[in-house]
Amino acid sequence: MPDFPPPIVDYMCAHLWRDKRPAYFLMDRQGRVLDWGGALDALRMAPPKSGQDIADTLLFMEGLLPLDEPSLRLQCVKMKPDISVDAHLFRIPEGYGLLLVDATCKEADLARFQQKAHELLLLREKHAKIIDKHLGKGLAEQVLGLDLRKPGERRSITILLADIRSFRPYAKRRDPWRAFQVLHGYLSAMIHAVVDEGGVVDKIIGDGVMAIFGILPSSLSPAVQSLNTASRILENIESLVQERAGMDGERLHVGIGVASGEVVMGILAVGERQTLNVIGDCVNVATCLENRALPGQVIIDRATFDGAGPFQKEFTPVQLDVEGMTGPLEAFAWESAQ
Amino acid sequence: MIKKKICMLGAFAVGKTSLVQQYVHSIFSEKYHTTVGVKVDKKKISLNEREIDLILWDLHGEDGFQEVRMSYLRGASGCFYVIDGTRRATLDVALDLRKRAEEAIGAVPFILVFNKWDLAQEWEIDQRTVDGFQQKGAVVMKTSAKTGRQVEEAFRSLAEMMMEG
Repeated sequence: MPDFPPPIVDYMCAHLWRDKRPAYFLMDRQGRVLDWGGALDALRMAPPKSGQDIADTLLFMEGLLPLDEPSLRLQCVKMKPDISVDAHLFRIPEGYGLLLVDATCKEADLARFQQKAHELLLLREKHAKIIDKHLGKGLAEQVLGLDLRKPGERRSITILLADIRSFRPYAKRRDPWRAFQVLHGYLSAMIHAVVDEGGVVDKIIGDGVMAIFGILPSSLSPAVQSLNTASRILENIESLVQERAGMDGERLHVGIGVASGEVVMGILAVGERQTLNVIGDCVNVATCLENRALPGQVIIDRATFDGAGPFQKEFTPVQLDVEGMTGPLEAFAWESAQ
Repeated sequence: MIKKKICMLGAFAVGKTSLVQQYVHSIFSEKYHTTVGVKVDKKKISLNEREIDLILWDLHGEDGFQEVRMSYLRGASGCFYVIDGTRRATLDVALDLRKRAEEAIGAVPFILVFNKWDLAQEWEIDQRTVDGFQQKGAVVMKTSAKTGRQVEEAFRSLAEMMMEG
């Protein structure tokens, strides 16, 4: 410990340690309590009796003594439903010292991060099962909740189509192996975004991806999930573009189309091979919007815009003339900042 | 009073906390709540007319970000290695933990707990795999923390094994 001047030590004691509500116990070599002090009240602990076995006071101490090593640190030991501590157990000449430091806030912060991480990992595992639907009969039925025996189910979903702009001319001018490597990087960036946001990658079509939102359970609406995904895809692609800058001089971006509505979906099975099929007008609308999207642009239909929540302010209205439609298609566009 | 420390080990989200909650408090929550660090609980049981306090260490699950520190197992008299029957990969995590735990604290009684039997139709682990562990001498139980199936029996069996050991 360096020689800190007294004002620094005072500040550390007042602001770094006092907030941690430290409490201590001194024990003999048999683990009997010799002395104690500190913020036992704050940790809502009853004071022990002198000579009492520490494990009778602190449940987690059972079996920990004697220590083989000089010290042992247990992180985030839950003492009460709303109190966690870091426990530092160490040798002293008389026996052992035990320092408890409040870790309630730390535990809450870690829990928030860990909960999200675990939910995402579980979602990925679930998604992997869906991808495996071609291999495992019945699995897609269970995971997607679709009944193979029924001809199809009506569902309200959101479709996202993302496609690399100008990839074909790019690939024509490149060595096929190099082009494939680039394609792999871009598709991975898109697929990870879909999976992370709770979508299902339905198809990889050439240099594009079709994803569905509204199948897997989520606290967010399919429209918001899809726009979170679109945003994440654009971020991932921008990172790729920056990584590739100077490699071959071309900046490939993606265009994204999103549409929402009711579809009929079901699993078509021929022998052991199963495929998920989605039929509905919004599939065609999403295709149309994706075709019109410029590099780095997201275009969505009215139904998606209505469910876009906080994303609405990002979009501006556009009128698209579509072949086969009597009037212009009402849509909304979002230009990526990149 | 005899006290025995039991550690619950396994991958994340296999149901360690749910098993303890079901056993100690007879409650089950559908919602997944991750465990940070360790929660220690106690259950008093009577075995052959002897009172035993089971000290249950519900440790955080293993994931790609953090490993369980073997120092937490210090003083453990028995371990549960919990596997989620619907996730094949959790079996590998449990077996790896068993190997590391044995290196750290030596051979203590253990039970391989295949949890989530209520989702039996989604299981990725077949009966032959389970039987294989039994044939090698391991004690194996199929539990459901949700329904309570075999939960009491699992803890009681491990308590008996620890008392015999």
